[in-house]
Amino acid sequence: MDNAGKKFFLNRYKQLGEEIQDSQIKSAIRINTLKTTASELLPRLEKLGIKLEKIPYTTQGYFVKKTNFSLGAITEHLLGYYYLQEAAAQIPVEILNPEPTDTVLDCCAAPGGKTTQLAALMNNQGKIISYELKPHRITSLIMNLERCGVTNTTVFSADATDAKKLGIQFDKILLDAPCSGNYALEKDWFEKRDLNGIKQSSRIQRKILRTAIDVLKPNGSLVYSTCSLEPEENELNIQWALDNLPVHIEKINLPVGDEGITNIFEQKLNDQIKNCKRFWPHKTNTQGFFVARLVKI
Amino acid sequence: MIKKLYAQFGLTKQQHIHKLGRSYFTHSNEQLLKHRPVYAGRCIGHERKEGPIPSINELQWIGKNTKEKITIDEKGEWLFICGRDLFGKTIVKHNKQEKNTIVAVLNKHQECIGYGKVIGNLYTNKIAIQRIFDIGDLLRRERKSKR
Repeated sequence: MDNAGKKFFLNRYKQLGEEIQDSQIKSAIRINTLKTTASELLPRLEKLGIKLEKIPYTTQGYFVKKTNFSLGAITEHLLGYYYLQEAAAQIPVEILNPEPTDTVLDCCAAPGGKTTQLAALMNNQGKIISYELKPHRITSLIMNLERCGVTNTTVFSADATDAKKLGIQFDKILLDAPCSGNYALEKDWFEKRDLNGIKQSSRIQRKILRTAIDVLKPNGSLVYSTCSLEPEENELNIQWALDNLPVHIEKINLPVGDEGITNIFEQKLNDQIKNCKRFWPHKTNTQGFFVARLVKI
Repeated sequence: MIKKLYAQFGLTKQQHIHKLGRSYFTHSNEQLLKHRPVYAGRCIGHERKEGPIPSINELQWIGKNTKEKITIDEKGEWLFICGRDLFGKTIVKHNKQEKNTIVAVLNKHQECIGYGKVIGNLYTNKIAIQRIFDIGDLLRRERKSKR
């Protein structure tokens, strides 16, 4: 196939200006401030022989430098004192920065890393409405909300486009879109994906994005993120949003990641797209990631 | 169902509970409940074939308020959250509970990590507490649901 395979994708990345090199994703945790604090938890984990290092660009995140056992199976995790969450995945909620008085829509919620992070930043106040379409992912979502002591959230097992039925205008929206993923996160990713699948993901993402902007208050902000490196799911979707929806793109001030690409396969995009952030695994030691902050006009 | 859970520990609690699917919640937004959510507000517990089990938060409330509790050492804690029964030698503190008493099991930080039934002598190197529920159950349920 001429629209799939490792060579095809590496060539695309080269056209975007990146020569992919080997990279190692650092595993990470996020302290759940609904249940504990860094000063309580860190000495306790240290006593167990777990070595951590603060992630400089998140408020509660730590890289795991050393551990002799699974961090998902110990008491501290089971009691919800921390969440196993990769560093880049901690960024969208920090950028959305919800307030305790906000009503927030969380579009594609499972397995709940970002939902529990929203609840923690809101100190379990305000209101979070979460949607998850895939029934088999609901169990993990519910378990994680329960484990982390989340009490300000209502979850619907449905498509996020159903949010219109609630008749609510949201202050903020998190759209961590279902996507094709990336090679750093999934073994054999290059063999499993092709351009048709990526374009299909892009269509779904635009549909959710359109609904989300419909239910967002004027001047409200929406953070759009994917763990994809493919422009069709990222910069080209943001260009589509600028062309078709009442939004502008706000700058993301982060000391990590590249700015969004505005020249995609010889197509010149709106300069506002530079305000987005793109994470190449070999540059950031995180998974591949993209994040944009849209504000409704 | 959930009242029975509290009663096992000699506890009662007044609260307005909603059942969503097989889980119990307290939730104040009646408007959202009309749209049939699967999770809403504070999770109290879940219904299982064997009977109701508490949420992690509710388990802590039980552990704090019941008189029927024991404290175990680190080795016992690890085995218990892996779903094992408890040997008497892992128990570091108890209230001389009699056989068949349901006891909350606490670790050295006084966090409730589950509960079980007293089935043997609390001082000997034999099984003393038969596990009924532990916090590792959450992880095992999640893994099972992914299979």
